[in-house]
Amino acid sequence: MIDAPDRGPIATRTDRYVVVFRDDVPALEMDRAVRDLLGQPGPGGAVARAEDFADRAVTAEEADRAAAVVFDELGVAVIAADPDRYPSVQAAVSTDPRIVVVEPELIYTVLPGQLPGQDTGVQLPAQPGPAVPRPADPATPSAEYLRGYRDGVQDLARRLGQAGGSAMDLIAQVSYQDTDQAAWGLHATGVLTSPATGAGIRIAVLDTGFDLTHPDFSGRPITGRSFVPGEEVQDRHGHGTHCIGTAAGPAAPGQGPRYGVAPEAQIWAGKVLSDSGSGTDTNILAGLNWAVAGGCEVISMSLGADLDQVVQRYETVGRRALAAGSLLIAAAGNNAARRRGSVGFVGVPANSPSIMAVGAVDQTLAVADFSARSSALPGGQVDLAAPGVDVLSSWPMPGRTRSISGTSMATPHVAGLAALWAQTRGDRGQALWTTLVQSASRLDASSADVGTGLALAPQRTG
Amino acid sequence: MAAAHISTAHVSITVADDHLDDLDGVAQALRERGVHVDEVFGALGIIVGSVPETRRAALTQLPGIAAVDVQPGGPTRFTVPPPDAPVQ
Repeated sequence: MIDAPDRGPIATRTDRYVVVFRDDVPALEMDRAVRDLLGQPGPGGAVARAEDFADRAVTAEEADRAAAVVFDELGVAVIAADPDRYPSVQAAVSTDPRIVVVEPELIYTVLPGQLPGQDTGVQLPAQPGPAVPRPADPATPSAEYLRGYRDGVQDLARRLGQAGGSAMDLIAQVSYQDTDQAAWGLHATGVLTSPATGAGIRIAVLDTGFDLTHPDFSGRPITGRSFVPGEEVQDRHGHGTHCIGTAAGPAAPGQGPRYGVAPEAQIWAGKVLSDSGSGTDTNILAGLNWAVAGGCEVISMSLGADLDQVVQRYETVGRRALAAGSLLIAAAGNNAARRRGSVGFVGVPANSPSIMAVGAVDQTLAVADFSARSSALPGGQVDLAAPGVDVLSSWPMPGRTRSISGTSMATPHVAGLAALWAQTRGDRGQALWTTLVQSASRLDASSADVGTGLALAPQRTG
Repeated sequence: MAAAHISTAHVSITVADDHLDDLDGVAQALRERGVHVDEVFGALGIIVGSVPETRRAALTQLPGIAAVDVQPGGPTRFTVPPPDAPVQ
């Protein structure tokens, strides 16, 4: 995963360079190409190949002794060159048909406050440039440097694998954008190419209600009920209207791009949070009872309390809802501040084992700064991730639409996707849960942050 | 009886799986033990209401009660930020 640029540089350059070969270059030819670059005429000498080492595991010490190491299975070599020679190496490469690109090698470091094995926060420079000498003496590599080298090679291998081996794909990293056609989240989750619409599936959104006058939903039957004493379903906050728009907005809104995942799903708008944005257990239990009794296959709850404790009633309710064929999907929570080193925790009710917890990713599919991490509680894990940064959706008139961020916005993406799967496969309850987590696209991010990955829409098969 | 103030607890009572088909009976038993029943959520098997603190502990001994959850100071409040907040 490539970090958002605003986290600042976390990789420094060495006096070594990574050579990326074209896909069809055989291993021996890689050796020759490297020798040409180094100005070494014959075989032997200082060019090492990964297959010469035990288990093909090259240690940093061995790599340091060699003038070059060829990772022929990856189609990559690392060469040592004086920074002054970089322009001439670049010139040689530009006329060598065997080589795609030469880039400065980077030292990768674990971000402050992160544990081993988590996101390494790798960042590539936009353009290869003159190298900056690394602080450590290459003759005595520090443990930190060894780890950095290993992480660098592993990261490169991983990204080559993702890119299907194409070095150009490797350089062009994923970043989704809103288009005239649709909000970025619909592009990212495969909604636009899915034949499913959510027809016949009931999605309940328990939130601040819904703007029943919204022109994008005119003529659409809405089942609404308020569980907030003294308030009507009509949404005077905006949060509920936004969530419903993402889950079930129209395929072709009156104006602007599409933002709804399941345009033919039946909308159940349960107002459990007041116009000022708060609600009690009783409101929420009442809304859940209404939705389960009404046979809603999917129940979306973009709400939470920042409590790091098990609340038995939500676990019981989630289990009974699943048994009745209703899948409860809840926001993991926004109590992280990752740039400040705080990963937060999944709150109530998403931390119940029987309620699906959804984290948020941004346009590069990196974990959102605010998105809460799995807690240590049983059931406190994040189960899936979905788009949750700068999400375009409906907003009470006269605003019509708005782009906002939060795990609240990720949750209705999954609710809409669940409706697509429920329509396509007939899955209900636990089976629907299983299908969603199985079909998710795995991400580089830690499973503690994104569960099994990015939720996806069903695609046409055969 | 002295007119001492007795605090009231807001409770969510989870009915056990083996009593789900007798929610009304469980609710009646709760009323007889001092619970003011606000709602019986039939699809969930949850009863919400309030009960004097002094009588709360005994409720867990009743047949058909799986859990009695109480929040100090009132029910758990769930919130979303104001509409113009950057993160929702």
